[in-house]
Amino acid sequence: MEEPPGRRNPAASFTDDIIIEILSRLPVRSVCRFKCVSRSWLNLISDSDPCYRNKLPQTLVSFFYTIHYPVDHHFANITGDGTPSIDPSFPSLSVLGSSSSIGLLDSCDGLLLCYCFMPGPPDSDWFRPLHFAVCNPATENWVVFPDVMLSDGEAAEVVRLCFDRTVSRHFHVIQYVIDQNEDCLTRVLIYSSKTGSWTSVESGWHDDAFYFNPGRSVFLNGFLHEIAYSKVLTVDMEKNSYTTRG
Amino acid sequence: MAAPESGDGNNGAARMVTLISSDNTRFEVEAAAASLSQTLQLTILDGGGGGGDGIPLPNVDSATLSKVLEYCIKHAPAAANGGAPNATAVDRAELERFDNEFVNIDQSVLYSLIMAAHNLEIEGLQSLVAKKVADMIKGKSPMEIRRTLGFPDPTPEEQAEMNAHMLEYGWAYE
Repeated sequence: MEEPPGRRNPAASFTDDIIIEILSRLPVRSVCRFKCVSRSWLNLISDSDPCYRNKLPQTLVSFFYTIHYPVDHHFANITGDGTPSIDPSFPSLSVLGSSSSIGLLDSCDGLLLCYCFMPGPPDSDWFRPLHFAVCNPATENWVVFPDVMLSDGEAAEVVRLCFDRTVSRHFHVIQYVIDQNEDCLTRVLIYSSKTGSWTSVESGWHDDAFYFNPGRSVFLNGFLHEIAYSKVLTVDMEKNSYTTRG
Repeated sequence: MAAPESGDGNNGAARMVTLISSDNTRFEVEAAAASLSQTLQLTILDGGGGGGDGIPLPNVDSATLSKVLEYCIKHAPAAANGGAPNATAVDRAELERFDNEFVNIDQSVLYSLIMAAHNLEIEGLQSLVAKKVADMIKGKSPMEIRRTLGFPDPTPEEQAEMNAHMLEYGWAYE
């Protein structure tokens, strides 16, 4: 009788259930690294069906906050179970500068959007260049990209991070540019981590000035919906366009 | 989670069932211990496994089954108490000590054990062994894991696919 394969190498006959059971007990950083173990592990970890996806550690369930005077960033683990903790001093971001030159702007689906003033001498107006940093606190990896240059009279007050790990591994950052004299929206800036560049989308409705005073937003199914004054502004990141309603 | 009361209580001898491994070895155990397996529990509730019949387990060999039953026998009293909410700290410490030693075994036995635990749906054993394997591979490189688990090295196409993935998504990971 032929020897059953499980006898020779039992681990090779692990079912997906067993592999998920094992991986679900590992920190997210290990799980990501283990995509390179085999093609079946890669498929299981990156495109797993929803019932598996929820079992794998995807990110930290946690709460970040900043204390001012003196500026200090904190991390609160709110799960209370064995979720791997991270260093609250946020070492991955400290390479960008002292904590006083870093600020949290937004978070979305486990990623954080921060601003940081780059080290080096200030420009003639005593401003140091501002950069954005998007960080995955679970893996302590980050990318930095420069802010856009605005024209005189323009201001970009609100910055949003849009990320949905179930749809894409790429994120978008949205900035609304406002005409300071008219207080109305003139264009929307969309940064895509896929292309690594900013796209400027003009409003095109100069006759119908849109008074812009954003309050709350929600990112859902690839669209960012922003409640602004009496209207809802919807940004479509795939098409690089936006519309208003209301 | 409590094992079903089969009515024999503490009065008479506990009800016994027979399990038959893939290599035809017969194991006689208390029904309460075998009932830690969700798979076996229904059969046992229906009165199966007694007398000369026995329950065949074609996916579990005798070496693995004897190890599985060692776990079940040790954990059955606590499970019968409904997960042992009123177990003393000493009892719990003793079970923990047993568990730690129980998984301190040869890797191939460990792998057979995790598959048997899944087949038989023994929740506590599944999670105990999964935790042990997770601890074994934590911090290892993908290549070391392939060695640890006895996986073959990836084909060039497989490697290329994984490299492409890491190149695209690596910014967020490693």
